[in-house]
Amino acid sequence: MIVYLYEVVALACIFAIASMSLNLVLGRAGLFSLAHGVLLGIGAYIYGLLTTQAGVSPAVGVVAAVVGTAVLGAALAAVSVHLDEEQFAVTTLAFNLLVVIVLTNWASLTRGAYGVAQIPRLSIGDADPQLMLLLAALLLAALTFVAFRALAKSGFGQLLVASASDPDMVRALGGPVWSLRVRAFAIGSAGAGLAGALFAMQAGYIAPPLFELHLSVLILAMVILGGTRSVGGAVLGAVVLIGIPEALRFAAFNAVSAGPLRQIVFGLLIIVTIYVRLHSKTSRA
Amino acid sequence: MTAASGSARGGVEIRRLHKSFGGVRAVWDVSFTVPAGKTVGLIGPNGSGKTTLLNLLAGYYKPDAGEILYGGTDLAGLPPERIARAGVVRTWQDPRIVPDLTVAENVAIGALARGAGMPNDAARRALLAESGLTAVADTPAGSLPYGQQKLVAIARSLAASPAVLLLDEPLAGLSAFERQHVVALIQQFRTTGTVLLVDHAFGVIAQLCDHVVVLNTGTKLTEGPPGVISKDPSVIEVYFG
Amino acid sequence: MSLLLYGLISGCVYGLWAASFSLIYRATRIFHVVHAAVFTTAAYGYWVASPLIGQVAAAAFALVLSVVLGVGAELLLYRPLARRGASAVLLFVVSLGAYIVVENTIQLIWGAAPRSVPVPFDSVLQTYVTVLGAGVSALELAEAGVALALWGGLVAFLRWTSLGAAIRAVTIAPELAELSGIKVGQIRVATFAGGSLLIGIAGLMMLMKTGIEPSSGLPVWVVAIVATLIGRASVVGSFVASIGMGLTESAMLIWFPAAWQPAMPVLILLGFLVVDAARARLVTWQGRRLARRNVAG
Repeated sequence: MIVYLYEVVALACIFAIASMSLNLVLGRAGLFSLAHGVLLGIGAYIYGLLTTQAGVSPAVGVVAAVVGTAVLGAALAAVSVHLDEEQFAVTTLAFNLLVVIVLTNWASLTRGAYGVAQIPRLSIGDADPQLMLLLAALLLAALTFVAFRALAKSGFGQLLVASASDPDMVRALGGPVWSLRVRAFAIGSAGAGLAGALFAMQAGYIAPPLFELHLSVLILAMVILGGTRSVGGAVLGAVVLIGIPEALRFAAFNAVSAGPLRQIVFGLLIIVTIYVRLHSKTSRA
Repeated sequence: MTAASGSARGGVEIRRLHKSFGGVRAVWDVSFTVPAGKTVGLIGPNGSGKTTLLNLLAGYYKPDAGEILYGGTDLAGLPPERIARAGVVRTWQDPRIVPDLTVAENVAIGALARGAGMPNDAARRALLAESGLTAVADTPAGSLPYGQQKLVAIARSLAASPAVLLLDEPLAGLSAFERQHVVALIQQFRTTGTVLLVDHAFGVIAQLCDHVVVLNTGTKLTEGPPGVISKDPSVIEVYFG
Repeated sequence: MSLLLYGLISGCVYGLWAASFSLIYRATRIFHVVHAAVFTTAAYGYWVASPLIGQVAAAAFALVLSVVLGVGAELLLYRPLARRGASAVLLFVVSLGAYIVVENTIQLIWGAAPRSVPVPFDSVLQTYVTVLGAGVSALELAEAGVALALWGGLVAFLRWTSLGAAIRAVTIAPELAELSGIKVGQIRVATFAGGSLLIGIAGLMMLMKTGIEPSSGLPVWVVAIVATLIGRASVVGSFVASIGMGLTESAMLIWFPAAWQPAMPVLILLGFLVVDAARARLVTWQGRRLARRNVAG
């Protein structure tokens, strides 16, 4: 039971890291990304493949996952941040599908549909590896929180908000909007990569279906649920959306129906949250 | 000599600028100089090409032909952020503030956008005080009345420490009290910088400008000192005729 | 030669997907993901109903279901939310949420396994014919023909009927259309009904040809949206783009195994955007309205 609790808390921390980083991208930079789940997947694969296939140590693997995901995220952002909101959302959605196809089909690199198994965890001496992972996840989530809060309040964060609201105005004052957005997306991707490496450790086994579109939608739902303006809200959204399905698991749902049912709950949550937020907004005005 | 001083640091020389939209000549063969340290007024009836000209100068539109010489380089066709970083900063008729950020944060965007980093506290407070915004510094800018938002916008462009300020109808829609603040800010800036001021109100133009350029249907009608322009029969005709 | 033929055939089918989507998208500017759910719902509706009530009645039932779902999305989701000031991207996310609900409801009830039905008129449609020196099944040819005919019908409808003219008016200038007495709300509903009917037919076609599973809709939607974006949202342009995509896909089969096929629309979209990005860097940005304001708490 206690090990199970460790797992759930670690998972909540991992998704809090993911949702805080999407919060920067969406809440500050105004970029509606549907690729965050697959960026997390890229981080997980970088970590998983390097540690199991290339014999890299877990610590180096984590760093590689963060840097590698940031670079790929920056490349995606470079060709898409000038688009209007909906086109950007579609492009990131398309990127999500593309990466899953590549992970599935480029078997010589990614082991294809078999996935990557026996992914090692960070370990120090002979401490309980699950406890170690929990502590690492808690510590990294706390660090991420501090870092992203500072970023949101910094001049960079203010400039992101301004260029989300009125890019032409920021450009007319000398602000390089394109590069600001690419940087914000790269930083957000780094967060997703970190979450991905931890996710790979926690799961021990990763395969392409884990990172299909629903994961991006789940992280998006966390951010929207918590309110896009606050970093703390993103943490709350992650805790709630990891907690609800875990609670559902104890209710009498069999393993087969838990998957789709969970998705239905997320789908409805997204609709209801947006509906309620718009409702409270219009009734306040 | 006047032309040469125009393209010296801080002055802008516009040479034979052209811009059409689908066959409509919005700006046609316009040339004039805004000498360094001077304030030039740009007037003309609605649709005479004033705003188009400003958009050309700020890089919002790319000219079909012509040059915009500033500090020895041609700004024509450069992207807006390059022009702003070179020191030529514009405002809009609309304040275009960021409603969710506070007044102080909005003003800071001017300095942040050009890469100068977060302005220090003293500089920020001084600018807010000059603009009469100290009392509302921590209020979300979106909740201010229109006139004060416009002050925020002008303070924001001053925070970008421009050499040349392009002001698009800075006084339109303001109360008499708010006008005083804006006029004071412009006069303060004039002592060190160059201004191109677009407005309808000839009184303000006459008060602030050393020189006036009159546009009509996209071409330059005439130019001269305010005292001469105000008596020019052709100007009176396009305005009142 | 055979690849050219296969490309043309799948291009026609893609064209039907794209035309059905762009009909709605042009008039509403909504990235209507529920469209993908309409596709699967029609197929499952037919699959469930045909053993009970026969093929013809089941097809009618499936198409009614399609129209109800598409129009329902407009009336129950998009319209109330747009009235509350939801931005386009929020409607997109809501639509995605609704799609996920429908897809997983289907999976919850009938499972994730692919479903298929016997081919109707099998004595004719299951024969193979040789066209341009390549063997294709009559079913595939018939589907391409049906797709082409439906698309032609749609173009003619938009051009020569008064409802079609009203749809075009709403597409080009909604405010003006409103002023000239066109009921924009009703026209929008009409495009949802028409688009859903067409994608419902496409869903039945895929069910008969290859079978269908709960997640079949999204790749279809991606093809439709890519063709719509590249075809500048016009019903003709998106069909032409679809043919191009069908041919490209065939050409890709020369170098890549068939498993890579779903990557094709995505690669085309990304390639298109890279080219577009290079151009757009020079052009002034559109002011982006910010969804953040609408979601912000």
